[in-house]
Amino acid sequence: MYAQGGQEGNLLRASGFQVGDAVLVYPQGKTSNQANLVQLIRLEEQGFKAPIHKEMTDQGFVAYSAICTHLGCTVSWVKNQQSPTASYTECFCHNSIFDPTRGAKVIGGPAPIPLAQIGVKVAPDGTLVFTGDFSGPIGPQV
Amino acid sequence: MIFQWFDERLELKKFKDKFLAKTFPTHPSFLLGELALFSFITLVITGIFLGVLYEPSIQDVSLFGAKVPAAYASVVKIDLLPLGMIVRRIHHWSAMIMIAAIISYLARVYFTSAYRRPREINWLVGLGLLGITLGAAFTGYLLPYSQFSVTATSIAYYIAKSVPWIGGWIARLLFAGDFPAVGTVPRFFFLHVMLVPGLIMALVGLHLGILVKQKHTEVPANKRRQEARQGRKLLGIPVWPEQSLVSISLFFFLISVVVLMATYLPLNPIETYGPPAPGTPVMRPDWYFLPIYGFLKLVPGDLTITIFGGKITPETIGGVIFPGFLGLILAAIPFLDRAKEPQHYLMNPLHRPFMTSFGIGMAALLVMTTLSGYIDVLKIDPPIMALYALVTTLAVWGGAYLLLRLNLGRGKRGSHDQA
Repeated sequence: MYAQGGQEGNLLRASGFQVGDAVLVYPQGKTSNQANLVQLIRLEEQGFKAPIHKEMTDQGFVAYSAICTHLGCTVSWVKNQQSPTASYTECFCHNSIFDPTRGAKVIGGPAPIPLAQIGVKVAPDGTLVFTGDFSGPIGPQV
Repeated sequence: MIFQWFDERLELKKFKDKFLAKTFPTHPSFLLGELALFSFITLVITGIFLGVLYEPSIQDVSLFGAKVPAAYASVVKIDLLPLGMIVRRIHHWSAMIMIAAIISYLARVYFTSAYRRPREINWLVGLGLLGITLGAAFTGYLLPYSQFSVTATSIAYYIAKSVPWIGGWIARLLFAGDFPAVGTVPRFFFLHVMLVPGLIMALVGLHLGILVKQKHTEVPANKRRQEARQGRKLLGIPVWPEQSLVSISLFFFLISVVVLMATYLPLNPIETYGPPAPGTPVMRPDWYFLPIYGFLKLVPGDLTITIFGGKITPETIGGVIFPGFLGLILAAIPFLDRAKEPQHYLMNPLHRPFMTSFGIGMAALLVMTTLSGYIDVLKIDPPIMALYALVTTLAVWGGAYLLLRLNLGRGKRGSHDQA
């Protein structure tokens, strides 16, 4: 996988991430389709709570569809500088808020369902790769 | 000589006697409709300039070394022309003034009860004009194909798609496929420069035709002055020359204000928004869509109702049911508030506590839903904001009703003219 915005070809590496960092990424070979945009986040593994799919995370890396389930805007990462693990995902269009430690559960705003999770893994060479498909429907539920 | 030649063929004298002598009321609030019409004329003139230079395509082209959609590139090029950006701003500001004028006009007609029998039809035509003008504004959003355009249109696409049972069909018809489809920009370009202005012209013609046929309403003060006479003859000034001079002055006043605004007040800076990109920054629609935008933020996400296989989602409630409900209430008003006799004099809003307070309550609702669009700035949770909006609306409505009632009771004891 690689970060969006002119980063095509530069594979993402686990070493570049601090706890509380997040980036918008495209799965390899799927750049052109906005619906596939994914938010890759690094948090602390012990902070993960149900209904997160723990088996789809690795070393604190967790990834969700970046397309808001309300009206399809791209979600943003609201980083808490003091305590990075308290950061959250927000859609700036109508302020839906998702909790990344609890499977992107909706904790505020009009989004009807959580963002779908997608499996992520740190490969032996240190690069980040996706495993499998989204855990549920992506994009607006209309 | 020349006049005679034309008069012989076109019977100009008959037209002059009949139409140019038509009486216009002198109260300035009767000019709001003209203001909307003149804004529309400004929009058409600037629109011709923009339409000639615009390229309705999202094919990637090269602009200063970057690959951007052709539509976006063509608007950037318009901005770079001498006066190009001013023309685009005049177009945008005129649209805002047109909508503001129509809404003020609607409020004037509402609060003075000018919609009552026999003017129900023209009230509906006017509402149609408001709706279509909002449609014109909305279809214009997409054309520059900036990040803002695409985000706003994408939201509208999903709102259309959220309509139960037929949403997918409506969305594909309106957006020429699943947005962002290649056909969407050409489809919106056609709607924005042909169909919607055509409909506006047709409805303006109908609106004015009905107005000429039914004649203007009059301010209540005219009633007393007319009581001595037999039959109804409008008090006011003739179309030619007095009213024409007023209209021409108004037109030039509008033009000068709009040019001044366009010169000093930037808006829709597409170069700042940039071409479409995957991320979505904080962006709000123009003020006239803020109530819908704000209401969308208030609807709780878990509010989904399923009936007969159709899903009514938060998107439907905020984007379709809320504005639809407002429109239906407005359309129903002349049929709920009926006059026994045809009515040609405006009513004093102070004498109509229920209707006036209801109108003020609706205005409060629009203000509160607009504020709801800023809950991220105000740091208020959506359910609390929804409660504020509800309580404020009811309190303003009820408070206004009580005050008007009290005032009316006091007036009745004195010598008050009940128009």
